[in-house]
Amino acid sequence: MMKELSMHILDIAENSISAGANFIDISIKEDYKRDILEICIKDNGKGINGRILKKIDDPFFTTKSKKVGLGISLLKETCDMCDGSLAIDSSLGKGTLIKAKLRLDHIDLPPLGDMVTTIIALILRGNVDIRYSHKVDEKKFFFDTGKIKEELEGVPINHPKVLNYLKEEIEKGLKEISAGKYMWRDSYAKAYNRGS
Amino acid sequence: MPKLTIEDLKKIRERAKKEIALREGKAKVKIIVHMGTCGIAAGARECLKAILEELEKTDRSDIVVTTAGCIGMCSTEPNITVEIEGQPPVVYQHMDRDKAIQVFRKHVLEGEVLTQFVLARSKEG
Repeated sequence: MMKELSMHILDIAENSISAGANFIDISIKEDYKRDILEICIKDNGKGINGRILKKIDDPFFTTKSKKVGLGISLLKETCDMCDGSLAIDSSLGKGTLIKAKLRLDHIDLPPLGDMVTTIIALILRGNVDIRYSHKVDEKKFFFDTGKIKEELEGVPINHPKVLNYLKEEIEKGLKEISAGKYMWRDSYAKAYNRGS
Repeated sequence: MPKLTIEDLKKIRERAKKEIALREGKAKVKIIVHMGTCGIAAGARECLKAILEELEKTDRSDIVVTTAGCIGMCSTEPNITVEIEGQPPVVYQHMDRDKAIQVFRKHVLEGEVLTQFVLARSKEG
C-alpha cells in the first residue's frame, strides 16, 4: 500500500515513461460539493493492447521481465477501498488514460501528500514534458514544463537553480488553491501515515 | 525567503547559461534515484527530496540529479546510484532520508564512498 495518493501518481507516471511517453498530462479535481476526487493520468506512450488490458489490474501480471505488476493493482485497491473506481482507456501507438475516482470524505482515503516532490521527480527525467492541472472546487492551478522549457532557452530544466524556482512555484500555486482543505493538512497526513 | 517571479526565472536562466558555458555543459556528478513501484513504496521520493534539499544548500551546478526505473533489486530499495567523473559508479541500498544526506555530504561532496551502505560498485571508472 502506498502511503499517499501522490506516490501512486508518481508510480503510474513512471510506468508511462517506461512505455516510451514523452508527454504526461496529470489532472486532479477535488470536488467537495459532489464528494469526488478525480485523478487522471494521460500519456502518449506506446499504449496497451486489449489482451493485456484485461489482465492489467492483476498484481502478478506485467509486461516487464522478472517483475510483478503491482502499480496499477495497488491504485485499484485504494480506489475500491474508498468506494471509487479505476478506468483505463488505451490505444496502441496513441497512449493511455488512467482515471481514478475516489470519495473525498471516505475514512480510508489516503492523503494526497507531497505533490511537489512527485512533479519534481518527473521533471528530473528531463526528456518528458509534464502538464499538471489541479482544481479544488473553483480554484485552479496549472503548470506546464513545455512552456517553462521555452522560457529557459536551452538551459536544462534540471539545473539546480531552475528546480528550486519550480519547486517554489508549485508549492505557492498548490497552497493558494488548497487553503483549509483537509486532504492537505499535515496533521491528517501524519495521522494517516502513523496508522498504516 | 521572498517568493520567486518569472523575472527571477529569466535571471536564473542567464546565470545558468554563463555557468554552463564555463564548464562546457558537462556535469561532473550524477545522482540517480531509482523510482520503480518498489522504490517509491520503500521511500525513494523522500530520499530524492533530501538530496535536492542538500544540493540547494551548495553552490554546485556540476551535480545532476535524475531518476530512473527499478534496477531489479526490489528487496534492497530505495537504491541510489552515484556516478562521479573518472570514478566507478556506486549503487547504494536501503536508503532513507538520513542515509541519503550522508551519501550526498560524504560521497558526492567529499569523495568518500560509504562502504557500509554499498550494494554494488563497478570496476570501471
